[in-house]
Amino acid sequence: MIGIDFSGRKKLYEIGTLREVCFQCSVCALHCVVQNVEGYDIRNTFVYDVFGSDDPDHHRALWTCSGCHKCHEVCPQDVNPARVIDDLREQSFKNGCAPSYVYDLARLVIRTGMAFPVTRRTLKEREKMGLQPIETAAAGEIRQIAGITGLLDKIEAAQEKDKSEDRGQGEKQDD
Amino acid sequence: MTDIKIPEKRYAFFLGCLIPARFPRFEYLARVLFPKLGVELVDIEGFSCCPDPVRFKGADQLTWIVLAARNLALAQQAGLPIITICPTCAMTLMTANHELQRNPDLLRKVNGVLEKTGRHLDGPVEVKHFMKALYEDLGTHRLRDAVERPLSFLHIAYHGGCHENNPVDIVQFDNPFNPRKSGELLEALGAHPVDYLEIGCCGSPLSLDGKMSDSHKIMKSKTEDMVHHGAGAMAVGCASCFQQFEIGQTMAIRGGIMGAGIPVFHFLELMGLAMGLSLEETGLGGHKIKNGKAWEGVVSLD
Ligand code: SF4
Ligand code: SF4
Repeated sequence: MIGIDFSGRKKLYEIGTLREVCFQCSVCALHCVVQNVEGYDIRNTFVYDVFGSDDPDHHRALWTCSGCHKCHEVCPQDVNPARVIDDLREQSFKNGCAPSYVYDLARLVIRTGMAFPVTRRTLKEREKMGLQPIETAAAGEIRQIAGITGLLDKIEAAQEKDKSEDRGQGEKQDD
Repeated sequence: MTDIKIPEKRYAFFLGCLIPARFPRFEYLARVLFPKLGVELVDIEGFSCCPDPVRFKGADQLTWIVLAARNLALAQQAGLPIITICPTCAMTLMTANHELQRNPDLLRKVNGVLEKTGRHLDGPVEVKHFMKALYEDLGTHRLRDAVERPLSFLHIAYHGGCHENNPVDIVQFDNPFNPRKSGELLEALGAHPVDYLEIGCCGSPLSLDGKMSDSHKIMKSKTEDMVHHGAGAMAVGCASCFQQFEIGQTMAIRGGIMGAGIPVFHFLELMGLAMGLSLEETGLGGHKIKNGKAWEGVVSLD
């Protein structure tokens, strides 16, 4: 009798980066917002495109996923594409390949404790409604945390990489 | 106007970022309306961004969960459950609860970082988006009792967005593929909820990622589906979805991609209207898409 040993499977599930067991059923594409991006259809889904990418760091829609987890709810293989995407994004960010708005966002959260900039107009609007000004009491603590977790280093490394690439391009132009 | 009741339920009021920074009107409405339902919203000093579970989480998952745990720890210190006015903030905080509970090593690691800033998290903290709190903690009857002007002129589709019901095992509210509870809450306000098919994301992540025309196509097909099923307006419980439909539809109309569009309301605005606030106080006067029977009905209330 042929026996199949599933004992290793659980562990892989825990890691989350379980691209291998995807059997390309396309079910996860049914409610996926990224399917609306030009070029995807039910045979060529966003999820396959990411899973099969040779260069996920620079994948054109890696940062478009809304994290809605609908793919996770419906996947018969429990692949959890949303989690795989989180892991791939983290790699891409670390390697300095995420879109610049993601680095800007990380800097803003560290600097102000908020993911959206507060404009003077909002402050005025708030005052008119009798709402308190927005406090950024958390910012010092967040910076400290980002230092400990290594996020600050990642941002700095990406910035350095950007600068040296700019320099590299500049040199090429000089040639 | 219903009088302010003796509070029966107290929550730590979690504002998040988008609402205080871009839509302070929704914060205002929550602060005015919840006390009328017997809810006290307690401000906690030091709450930060939840943080963003899409882009910030993608940047660094450890920092993401530590910052979420920090917010939870602040509420825990105050001895209060959290109420949010953003479904995504609630989802972030609930996910952090879930992950930290099932992974004691991660909790130790997170506390290791938090303790360097003088904080500590002990186990999970109850977190609810306001729609879930309305449904579960207050009940539709409480909302119905507070209604002074039933919104019976509204045939309205509710768009639950990405995180009001997902991930199901973490948020534990409603079936994301066939939600009923948001409809019951709309019914409590006197409105007629309309079922429709295209229940997916509003498309705002596409706009944020610069894919504007794809994002506008989503809006067009979603709103057409709602209209096809008999809706004259739509409601949301998420400020990001509100922004996408209000500003996005306006841009898509201007660009000739969409026709007239349909009015979009935040659930808190509808609560305000039904509970007797003026159009000005609900902030509805500032809306951009004002058309059809839905809008006529709203204006006729003033
Ligand atoms: S639903 Fe799961 S198994 Fe099917 S294509 Fe998507 S990830 Fe692969
Ligand atoms: S989480 Fe991302 S990949 Fe999954 S369905 Fe939502 S948008 Fe698509």
